[in-house]
Amino acid sequence: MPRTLRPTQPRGHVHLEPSNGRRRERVEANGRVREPAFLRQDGWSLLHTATMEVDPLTGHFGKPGLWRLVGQPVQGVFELPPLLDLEGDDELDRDELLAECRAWALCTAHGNVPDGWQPPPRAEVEAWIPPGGLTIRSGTQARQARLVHEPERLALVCPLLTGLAAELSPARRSWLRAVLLDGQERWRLVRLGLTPTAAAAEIDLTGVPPLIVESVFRTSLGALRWVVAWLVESAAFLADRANPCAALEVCPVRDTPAERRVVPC
Amino acid sequence: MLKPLGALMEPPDTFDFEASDVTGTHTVTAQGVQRLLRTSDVAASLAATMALPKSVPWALRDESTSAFLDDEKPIGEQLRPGAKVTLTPKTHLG
Repeated sequence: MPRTLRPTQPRGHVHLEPSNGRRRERVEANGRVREPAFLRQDGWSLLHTATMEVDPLTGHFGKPGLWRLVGQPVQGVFELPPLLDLEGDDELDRDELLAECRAWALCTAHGNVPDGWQPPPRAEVEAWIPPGGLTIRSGTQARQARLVHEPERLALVCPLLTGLAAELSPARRSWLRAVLLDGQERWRLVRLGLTPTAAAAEIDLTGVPPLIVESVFRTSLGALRWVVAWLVESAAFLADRANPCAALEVCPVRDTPAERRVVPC
Repeated sequence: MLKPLGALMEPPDTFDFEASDVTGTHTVTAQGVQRLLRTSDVAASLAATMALPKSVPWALRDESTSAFLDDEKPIGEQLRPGAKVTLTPKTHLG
């Protein structure tokens, strides 16, 4: 039976890879399960899941937490940004904060919201958005991101493409997918999604510990703006059927020479 | 409960309208414009689409009323679907 990619829900315990890449005993001598530690990389704190068979552009979209799907084979990655504004806080218990963040990651890895978590009041969150902060312009394109503020969800979502034509050629869709996958691999935090009719970018902060919500939110807004501005013109160009470009009917360069084929114009 | 992926992705509200430059040389159909976008941002994007100078501030005028749209207000509050607008450089006379 051929293997197919389809969105999957994690079953039971989500196996998180030891972040230092080495296999280690997950059960300590006293019987307690040792949780995987964050990997520190350029000031970021990372956690990875084991590989999974899932579409990187649909498998995590809309789900709680910072998890994204990257790599080949596909892995989930949780990327906690540097908390620079907390660096000088001498009263901060960093170990406790790290434990809270790890709990956030582990809970949302299962698609769950931490018990009792609520977002800050909407007015407080909106105060973190500078004037025009949700408007993203890049050349010929302008997009309005939106704040998702619900009892069990806090997220920033920005449409990239809407009303994708059903008649868009398979080659163009393949290019569009390649561009979005490249964006997802290249930039942290931002999760990209693609359906037959639309493409969008999001960062989900559901479950974020209260102590760091403002810091992570501000960083997330900046990241979303950056990635959308980086991607939107290319995505719009590929999706615009009024752009007659025979070169776009050539398969994306990820295909091996044996897989490329001549597509008649 | 998770919403369907399609519902998560679709923006709340978009519309289409037609825009041309003041000489009538360039006409574009602005498709899927989010209603919440600020008019000034839409004007700048249209100017870029028509390859008009970036150093010039641009305004939109509704051809049906000849009124200039308010730059700071959302474009969806000022235009109906299918409207025709003219992209005009902002100039100060006198």
